[in-house]
Amino acid sequence: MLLALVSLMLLTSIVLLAIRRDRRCLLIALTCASLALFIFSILTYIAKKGGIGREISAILYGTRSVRDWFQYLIMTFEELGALTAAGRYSFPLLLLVTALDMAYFDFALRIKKHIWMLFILPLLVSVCYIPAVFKGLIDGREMLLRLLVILSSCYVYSYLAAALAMAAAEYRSITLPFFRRRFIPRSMILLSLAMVYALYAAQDPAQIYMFYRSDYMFLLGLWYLTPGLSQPMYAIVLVGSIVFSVLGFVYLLRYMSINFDSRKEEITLKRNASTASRGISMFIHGTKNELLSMDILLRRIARRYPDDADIAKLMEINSSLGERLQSLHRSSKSDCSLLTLTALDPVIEKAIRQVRSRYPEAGFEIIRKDAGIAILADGSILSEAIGNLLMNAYEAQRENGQDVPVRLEYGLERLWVSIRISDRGKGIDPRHLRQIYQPFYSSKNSSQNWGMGMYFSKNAIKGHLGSIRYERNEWGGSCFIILLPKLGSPYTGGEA
Amino acid sequence: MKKLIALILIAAIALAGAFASGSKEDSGLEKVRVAYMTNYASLCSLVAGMETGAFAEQGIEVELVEFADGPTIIAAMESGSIDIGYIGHGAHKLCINGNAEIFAFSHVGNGDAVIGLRSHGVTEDPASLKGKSVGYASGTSSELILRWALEGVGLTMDDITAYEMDAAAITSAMTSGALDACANWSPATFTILDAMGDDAFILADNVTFSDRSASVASWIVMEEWAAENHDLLVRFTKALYKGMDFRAENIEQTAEWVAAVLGTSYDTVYAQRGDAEWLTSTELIEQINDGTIESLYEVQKQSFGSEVDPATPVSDYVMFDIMLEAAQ
Repeated sequence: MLLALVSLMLLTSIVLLAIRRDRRCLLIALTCASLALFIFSILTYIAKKGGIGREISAILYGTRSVRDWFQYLIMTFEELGALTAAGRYSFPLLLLVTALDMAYFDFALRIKKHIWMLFILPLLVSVCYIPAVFKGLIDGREMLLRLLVILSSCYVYSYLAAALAMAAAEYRSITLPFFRRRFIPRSMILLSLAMVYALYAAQDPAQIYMFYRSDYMFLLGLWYLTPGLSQPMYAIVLVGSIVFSVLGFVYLLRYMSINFDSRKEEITLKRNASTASRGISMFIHGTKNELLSMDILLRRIARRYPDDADIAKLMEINSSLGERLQSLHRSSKSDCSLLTLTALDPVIEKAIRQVRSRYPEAGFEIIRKDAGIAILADGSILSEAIGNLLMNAYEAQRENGQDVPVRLEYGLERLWVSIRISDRGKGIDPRHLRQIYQPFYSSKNSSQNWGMGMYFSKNAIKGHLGSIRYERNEWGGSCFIILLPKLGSPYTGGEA
Repeated sequence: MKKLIALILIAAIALAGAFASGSKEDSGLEKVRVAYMTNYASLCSLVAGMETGAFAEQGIEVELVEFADGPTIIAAMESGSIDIGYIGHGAHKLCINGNAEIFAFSHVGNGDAVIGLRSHGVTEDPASLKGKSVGYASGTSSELILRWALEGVGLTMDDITAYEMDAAAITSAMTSGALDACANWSPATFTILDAMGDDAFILADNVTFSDRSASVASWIVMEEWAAENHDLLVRFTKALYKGMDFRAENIEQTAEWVAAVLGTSYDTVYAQRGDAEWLTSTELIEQINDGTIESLYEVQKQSFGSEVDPATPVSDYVMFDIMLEAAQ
């Protein structure tokens, strides 16, 4: 079972790496490989030396023939000890580096800048545990032997604790449930690996090649052959590890398939947008000409009735419509945006003003989690995109008879600036989720909605190197989350 | 996803439950964890006692735990994971040095041997081992045979390329031709000789050095355990005696039982019946009373040279009182 579990972990991590081919999966695969090296070496040693009952043997190897295979491997104890030491001392380092790679809180980011320092102690310990070096160092020096054993254990425990603390701190620093949901399976993988490692972490690998030296034999106790746990506890730890690792890997694989689906969707969307693009251009061009004609007519009427407030209002609406068409034209024609350093607060305020120009009574509950956020943005396009979402949220609430403010939360989240817009509408029917970003798609039964708002918003946010995702909120309404790269973050275009 | 989590958790709990309840129900017998090695010599009297119900008669349930060699068994006893163990000649030096106590004599063995391969340039002359690759298991009787064979021609372990391995790895390495020679013990020695045919030959064995040592095998316990479980130890020894007596009369049946425990063929086990001179309990008590057994241990102690204190009295680490009490 232990053998099967570790093999499964290693295999899955390799599959994951083959599919995703990114740094994080490489780190997970390396961590699994070091654990596999550690456990396989110990299993080989135990198979060769014996000392375990049938039940424990079944838990470790499964069948007798598997155990025999390990037993008859041609290896010297020095080779076996060296491999075990390599596994024991590389795992905590890799686990910590992987946990660090997943962490984005300030302290973790500071450590990342000096990550090379984390390699010093493991390297030192690893060199000391090369059998020839170890034997040479401790020859007749019992104090040094004890010191080495204690020092290496300190390294193992401190790095393990640091890795788990790093994962816990990262979890605490995440406030978006969406990010938490993505972080949990990864931390589960780390936890399951650490649990399996912990089964034999306390043991000193020099016992393998120093066994028959009486000064060592009775000095440091036994060892790999003595199951540290009772049979039921063994089973519980292993089953726990299986649960965590299966959940973690299944979730990651599932997430990969979601990414794959969303990439497929993106391609469909692009194809539809390309088809619609010509129509949109013709539409904009035609509408623009109509608007210009209307503008001329309105000026004439205004000259005839200079004191008529309705005509002045009509001219203002006409001019605003022209500007918005211009924005739509820009965003649909070009993949490039001119992004400048922009404060987020005024962008939000402008988006709210945009909604209120149409719905003066609209109320908003604004929760600003971090002050003074700056982003790289085209302020007018971004505010238009956010405004569209706010407008939709307000309309959804109104339709649902909810007279409460629309909630808008924004702040920093890991590598991102997050903007969450939550309403108390009826939410979006899951069957329509894939279509909401399509051009000219609208679920609203209204002649005033042309179905261009979400298409525009998605395109605009994409133009800001960001992303938008939909979730149901706790009230059963919609929650749109806009993620924009945090200024100064090491944005690589990947997911955080 | 929630369904998947629920399913996995249910499966996990069921699995953990299955394993947790996998241990035997309390049979009312006192459980004793006994360490053995995978050969006939180690198991014959023990398994005969188990199968004939001698241990159950004494209120003992034996839990067998397999080990590769004696020093490992002593280390496991030190850690408390084993109560009683069987050791070959090599590990006796640890008993002399105070690491464990002998409570029962097993036999004088002849299962250790140094084997060479003719095709690799090894001849009947131990001097031919110079510069050769030789596999050995440290701390065992077979290592002593190797050392003595080298000593006899003025060589030391530094004159050969010695590879410290376990018995199984030595067997694999020899049969695959990766080693020129090896020091190993029965039944691995039989396996190598069978597999390599005429190419393999015994360069030295226990008989070669019978003038220097008696290759005694014994049953051992930790001193504290013996003090706390005196009655249990006597009952265990009584059952062992019954096993010894049954074995003497029923070699084939005993070999069958041992083969079943080891998961190996009857022939392989039966072939090991000549690895030692097997005593009955009556013969053993006679030899204890006439001092033969003590003298065997004395000779054995002297053979370890400077590795032990030769002044240590045999009675310090051999509990003759238990052997005699069990015979009553």
